[in-house]
Amino acid sequence: MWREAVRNTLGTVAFAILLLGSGATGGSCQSTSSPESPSSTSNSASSGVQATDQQDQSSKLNSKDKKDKPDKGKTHVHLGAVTVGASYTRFSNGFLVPFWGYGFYPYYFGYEPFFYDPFYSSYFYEPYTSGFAYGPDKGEVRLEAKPSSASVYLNDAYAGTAGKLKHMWLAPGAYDLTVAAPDGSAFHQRIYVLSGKSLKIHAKIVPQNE
Amino acid sequence: MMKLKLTRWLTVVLIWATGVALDAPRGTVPKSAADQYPAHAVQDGINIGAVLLSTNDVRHAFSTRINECCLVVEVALYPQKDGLVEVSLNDFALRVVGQDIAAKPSSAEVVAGRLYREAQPQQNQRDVSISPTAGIGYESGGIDPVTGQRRPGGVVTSTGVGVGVGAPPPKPGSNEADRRTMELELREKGVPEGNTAAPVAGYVYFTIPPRKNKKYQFEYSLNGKKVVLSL
Repeated sequence: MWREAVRNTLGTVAFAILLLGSGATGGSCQSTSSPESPSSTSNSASSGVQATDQQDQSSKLNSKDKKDKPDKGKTHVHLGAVTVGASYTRFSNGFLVPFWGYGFYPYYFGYEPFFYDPFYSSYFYEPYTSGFAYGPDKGEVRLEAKPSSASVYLNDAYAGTAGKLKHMWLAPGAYDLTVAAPDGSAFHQRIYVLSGKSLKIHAKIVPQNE
Repeated sequence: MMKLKLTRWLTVVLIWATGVALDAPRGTVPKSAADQYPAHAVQDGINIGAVLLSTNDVRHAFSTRINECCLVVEVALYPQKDGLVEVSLNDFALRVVGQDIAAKPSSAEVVAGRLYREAQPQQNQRDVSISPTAGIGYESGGIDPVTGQRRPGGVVTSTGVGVGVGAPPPKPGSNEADRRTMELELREKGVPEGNTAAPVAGYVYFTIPPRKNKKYQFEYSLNGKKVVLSL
């Protein structure tokens, strides 16, 4: 409980610093602003509450859409060995998604959204790396998809490539699985994961030109 | 400024509406016509098609192990043009031919609850494993260290039994998160209830244990008239 309170307080302070200073902080604090940060993340406005590293992937898919690229900013402050940071993503319609994070400099630092995040590990630079490991209360999803470079999304959040996600252990629940090929064609399926049960998914991606 | 606020509100409403729509039952995609289903009929201009899913079909269509308790019928209703049909689970029934057994559909909550209960480990349930062992060897002989006398060699045999007692591993669907997931799957794939002017399809669950070589009749009551389909 007290950890939550400390986290929330740190997040609020960090975000206030970001808003007030717009990336400039005084004293001995260091401050940076990087719109191309790999960890500054956001999701599409359709889901609204989920935020992961998929921004980078979706920007790859829609690289031609430079106009709709959301405005992003981030900063962090070193307080001794402790680092507190905040970032935001502002969409073209004015919708603002704030993020914050903390850690021990120079290790273990990332950003997480203020809002609901379905996968706790998603605020690390490498999303979901620890989220798919075996657990006694999890269910297995065996994914077969070609090409292996296809991007895998769970509930619209980027999870990794199909080649690296042949076996995923997920908590029981319903997930919207999307496998998107580099050419833009995609496979969608809603999957229901039960603990101790293995689910085999053969994602057949139909190329767009067919 | 005003336009910006309106856009924000519209975004919030859109997110909320998306959430509501995702929560709503969705059923399955109806086939192009009722006669695409093995059993079909027309009543008062409304076409109805139905198919009883085999054990294999159910295994492919569901993550939930619904085969253990229930029969699943996929039903599709096609209202006449500019017409409206009210879909209600109470209008369906399944009868076993040659027996006085008939069942009304069970809701997703009931089926999920039943599967969850059946997956719970029983208190007196024990998993006993028995491991018999046998050994054979040759002793060359020598001086007995205890008595100090010479001991002849020979073949030595031994036998034994190891007994292990413990609880069996938990079954799929045995925790609360599983129960919620099963309920969600069954509800989302179930036939959508309510008034509709467009064709709808979905699964209907009957708590009749699946048995081979049984014939079933699917009954649908429409405006007081009963439509019977042989499955």
